[in-house]
Amino acid sequence: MIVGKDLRNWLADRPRQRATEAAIEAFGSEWGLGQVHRHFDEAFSAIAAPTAEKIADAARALFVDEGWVDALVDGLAARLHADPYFRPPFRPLTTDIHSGLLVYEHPLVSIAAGISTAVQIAAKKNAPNRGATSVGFNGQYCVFKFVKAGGARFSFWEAPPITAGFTATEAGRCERTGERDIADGEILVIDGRRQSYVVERLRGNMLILQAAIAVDQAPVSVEYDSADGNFVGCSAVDDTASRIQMITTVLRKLDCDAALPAMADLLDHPDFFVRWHVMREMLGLDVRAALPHLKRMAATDPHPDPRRAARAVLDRIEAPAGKQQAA
Amino acid sequence: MNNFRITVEELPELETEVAVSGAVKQQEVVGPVCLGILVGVICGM
Repeated sequence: MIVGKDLRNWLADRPRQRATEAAIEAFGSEWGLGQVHRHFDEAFSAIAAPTAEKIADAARALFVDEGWVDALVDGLAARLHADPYFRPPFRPLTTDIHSGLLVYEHPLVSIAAGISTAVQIAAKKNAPNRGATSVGFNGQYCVFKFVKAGGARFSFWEAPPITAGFTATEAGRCERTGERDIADGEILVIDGRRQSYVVERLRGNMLILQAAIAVDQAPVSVEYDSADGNFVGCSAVDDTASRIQMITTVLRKLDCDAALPAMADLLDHPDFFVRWHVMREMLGLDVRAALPHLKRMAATDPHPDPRRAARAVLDRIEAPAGKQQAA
Repeated sequence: MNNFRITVEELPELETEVAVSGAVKQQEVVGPVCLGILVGVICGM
């Protein structure tokens, strides 16, 4: 690594490093206690009986005035100009096509500001040996504001709604519904449970605000093949679901019987795949303790997949001893 | 039921296979960034 003289000096200068850290903390504190943040808090906290649609309306209203974005970017630029080692006090959200910052977090909604460049999009679209591609439905209601649209042209796609009862066999197909240019300042509401878009063209940089709504989200995000529209696969929307699955597997591998009551509580989790995963781990820990829960799942789980899987295991357990061994 | 043991790996999987948050089977054409997944990934780092 080649380290410039100024960086070398900064790395050796503890008081200067502390000054940088203090500036970062001060900016975060000013933003968190500032007028914009307070205005956002008031807007979202005032929503009675929040639904995705109501939260989207509030986000859309907040996105109309983009003065706060200018003020935020100007503030960050001024700090960086004064100290090149200043870092924005926000979580970075970086993918191969997007560089963003998570600037606002509320239990109902997260707001990010970020940039996708024409170079990033072109590199992604023209990558060698790219293979088959998918259109993704992210399972979340989102509001986008294209502060600078960069001459973008989007195609729009729709699929059957992703609900709590989503199954692969009834996922259906996605269809392209249209294509148009995106204007600077345009606000777009995408219900990621049934809608998506694809960037077909980008001539410059796209500055995007995105509000991702945490209420009424689907259990899974879904991929459809971009060529034929057929279902490809799905993954958990909420990373908490995946963490629960991993933790319960660890508990079973550790033979942690004491965790069974807590695991039983997770059998009421809203995501069908979490419920079945927990059931499997409980069965691995203690069949006798898990059996009443297995019977209940086989009879009453609201999703057909866990019901069917639980029934199959129950049949195996209740089979005569000779048949159990043969199974 | 007596002494009946179950090996988790032998239990059936769901017909609807669900991958961990953020996983994809194919390259995605360029569409909306899934903020929920990104936030989760970042928070977990």
